Amino acid sequence: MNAMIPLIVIIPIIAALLLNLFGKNNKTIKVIAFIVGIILPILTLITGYGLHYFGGHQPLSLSNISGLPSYISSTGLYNLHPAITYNFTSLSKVFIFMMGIVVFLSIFAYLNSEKRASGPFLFLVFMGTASVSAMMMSDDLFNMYVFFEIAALIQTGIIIASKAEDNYETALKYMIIGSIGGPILLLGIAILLAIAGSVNITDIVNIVNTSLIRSPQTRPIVLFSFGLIFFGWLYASGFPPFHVIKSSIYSKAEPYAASVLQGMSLLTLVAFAVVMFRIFGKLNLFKGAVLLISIMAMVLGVSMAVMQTDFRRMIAYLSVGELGFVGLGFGLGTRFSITAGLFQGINELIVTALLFIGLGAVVYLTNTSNTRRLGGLISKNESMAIMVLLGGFAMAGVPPFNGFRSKFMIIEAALNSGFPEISVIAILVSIATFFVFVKAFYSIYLKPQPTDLEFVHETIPRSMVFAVAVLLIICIVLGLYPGLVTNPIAELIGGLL
Amino acid sequence: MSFYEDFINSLKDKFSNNHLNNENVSGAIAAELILISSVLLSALLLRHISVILTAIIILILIVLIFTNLPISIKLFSEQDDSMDKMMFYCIIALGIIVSVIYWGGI
Repeated sequence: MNAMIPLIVIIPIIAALLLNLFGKNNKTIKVIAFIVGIILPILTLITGYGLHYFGGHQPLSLSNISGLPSYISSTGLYNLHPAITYNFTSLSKVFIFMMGIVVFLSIFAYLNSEKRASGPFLFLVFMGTASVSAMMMSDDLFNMYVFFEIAALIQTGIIIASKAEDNYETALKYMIIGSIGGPILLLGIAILLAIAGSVNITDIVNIVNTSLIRSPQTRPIVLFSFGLIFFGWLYASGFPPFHVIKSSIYSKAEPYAASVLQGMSLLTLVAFAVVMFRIFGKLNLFKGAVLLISIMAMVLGVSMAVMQTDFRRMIAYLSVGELGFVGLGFGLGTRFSITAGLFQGINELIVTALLFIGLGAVVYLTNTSNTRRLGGLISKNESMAIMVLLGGFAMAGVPPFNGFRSKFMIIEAALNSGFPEISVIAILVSIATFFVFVKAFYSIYLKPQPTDLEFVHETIPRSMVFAVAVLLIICIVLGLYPGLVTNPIAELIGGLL
Repeated sequence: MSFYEDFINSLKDKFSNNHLNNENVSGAIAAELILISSVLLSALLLRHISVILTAIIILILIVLIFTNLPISIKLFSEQDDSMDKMMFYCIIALGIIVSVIYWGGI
């Protein structure tokens, strides 16, 4: 038992409740949000790996209890997990830590840009962080689903809290689409529970792989459950056909909120992808389905991004497309490819946050994100413009940034797995991403400033510049020392395989 | 140049002439090339199942692509925020997943 593990979920939930309670006291909520924002990544960093059992005990097989009757010690009951188990691994540590950094920087930029902070908005951000942290750690499928639904509602709330045009309509659409994706996922989980007799993921993995998948009677049910959970995963991650609504919600959120939203989607994707890989990884269908949908996401994401004239929508589509690289890692199914995919996930989390906040400064200055109405903004803050450009390079996979390392690893993994076509598609998508950034950078910063362009603010808040600078430094550090992330992830993936 | 002119004309049909500039055209052409090359490369993956099937599918795709140019514009109009279209593709995806699993016998 590790008593620190639940604090990673409990502290942001308590903070969220306090922020809602003191929502009218501007100074108090700013102080609470800032302090908890700092505590979260530190807490994740100092917490040791291990297990925590909620509402139960560890499996009897680990308890060294002697003299148990044979109907327990010689049956499956001896190994079952009776408690809701949280498993804090190197994978969850890396992802929750990076999410903590993104949340802190987003909150920091928000608190310093807005004169009056919104308690309900900060409540949503911290509840969302707690939800995705719980999903990353939970070894209980139903517990994961509960937090998945909370995260979906939080995302809707964050859009409603935005000041963007048509935000209510987008939030409503997301909820309606969610009313298909969410219940389908729950149905898949319920079927799995019905045939496996447990919601603990470790138990399900053992039961499915040792007996259910081999029996001709139960194999179709496992396949059906996989299909439903896979569909729910597409919704949770924003893969096609949900890429349009996902990119829509990113573009309707405030820049700081969009950076948190994409982090929430990414952590949900990773949490469910790992679970699906553990349970269904041995099905022939699994790798093919994940590869197909990942390629579709990459191609659709980048080809839609390249045609946009709204730069927030551009980044939103790119963000969805970049998730395809993470999916490729799981689809190829080797230790190296999954490590590469997860490393790409970390990089995307950082780079997309950088771009949402960095380009959010343009919205802050001009109150528009239409590239046709923008131009010449490099004169407002050269350092911010250069950092955004470098962030774009990191996303496109230009050396020496982190994106280059992870994309190179994925391309290498595809070649090693006998799929050179996938390597070529990945390279094409990276080139197109580079093209999108050059086009957007020219439109926003370099082309002559339109005469009718009006400024609502004259300068960019320093907090935004600071947040973007920190994220860029992380990009460079991970580009130069990828082992900081890949070594702990590879160790864990080796254990899973 | 014929293809380029056809392309520009379909762009003009889609967007108003006043808002058509080199950024739109270059973006649309880039999207078109990415889509065509990615679809054909993805079809090549079928060689892991059957080489003959791959050849047939690629020939069919080439015919479909060249009879439906420009694809990017058509795809772009399908990928808007319309609730009807989102629901349609959502149900289609669910249908495909369930069908493949039910009848595929994989």
